[in-house]
Amino acid sequence: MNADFQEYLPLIIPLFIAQFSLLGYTIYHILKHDNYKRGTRAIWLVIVLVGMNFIGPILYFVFGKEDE
Amino acid sequence: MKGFNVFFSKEIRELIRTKKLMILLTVFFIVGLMNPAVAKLTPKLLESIDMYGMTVGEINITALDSWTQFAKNISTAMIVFIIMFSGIFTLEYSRNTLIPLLIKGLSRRCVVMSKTAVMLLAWSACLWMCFGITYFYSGYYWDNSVVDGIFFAGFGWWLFGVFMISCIVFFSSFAGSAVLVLLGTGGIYITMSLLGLYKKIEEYLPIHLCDSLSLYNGELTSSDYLPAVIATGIICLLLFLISIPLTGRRQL
Repeated sequence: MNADFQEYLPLIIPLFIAQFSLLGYTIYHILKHDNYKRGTRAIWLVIVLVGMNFIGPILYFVFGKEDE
Repeated sequence: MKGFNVFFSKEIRELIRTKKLMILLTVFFIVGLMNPAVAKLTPKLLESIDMYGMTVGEINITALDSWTQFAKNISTAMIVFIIMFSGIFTLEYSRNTLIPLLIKGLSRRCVVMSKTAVMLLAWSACLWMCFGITYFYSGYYWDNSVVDGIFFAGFGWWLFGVFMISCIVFFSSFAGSAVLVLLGTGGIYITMSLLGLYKKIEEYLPIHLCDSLSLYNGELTSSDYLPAVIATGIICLLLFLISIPLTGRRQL
């Protein structure tokens, strides 16, 4: 198992970094802004956390982020 | 030329500040990483089926599986790309943000050219990054040399993306909203898939470039794609050249 796991590490580590940095940035962005194109802060936080595997953050940036 | 430079740098800044570039790069990064990951995990998944009493013989995963995933997944990433950029022209028209610049003497040709250039640049960066990641991991776990025509298949996808971009530019020159641009571009894709059923013209259609699998298997060689490459290049150029006067005549 251990050797097996090590084999996957080169794939898992970048995936985790990309995923969590995107998630962290999205939550930061939601909390920093008061107005959204659609929806409210609570809705977007739920969507981003539920769809945390990239889908939530991408949905937020496409449909929720207000154009400045 | 000065107008082009100024507007081009404005577009790049817009791409960065609206976070579009970040999202696109992340999506293509993930896709590039998922291709070898899915191929790597396939034996594990089949093993778990094994536990339920089904017997699956020994399966051999090679770089070919990883590249097959690439050909499947890159189209999804391309759809994200097209959705992101469908409003690049129409949003500016509907918000009237172009009018001050046009009054100050920026020519409409510069607007079309610099927006197209930005899209091409973004598409090239995203696609080749995704390609590079898949290439690196496939080479790391398996052997890339068993798959034929990897680079040409990548080029085919790139050219197909360029074709889609020129569709966006073309439809943006007269359509009123981003949704119409999307519908037009999607319509072209569906029409091509239907026409592609007719084998004699299939090899001249841009959609033929997406057929990476036959290239990987060695059923087709890169020279079989030559008609499609030339036809796509000509269509892209035509669409682009038509959209410049169309945009020029457009009511703002």
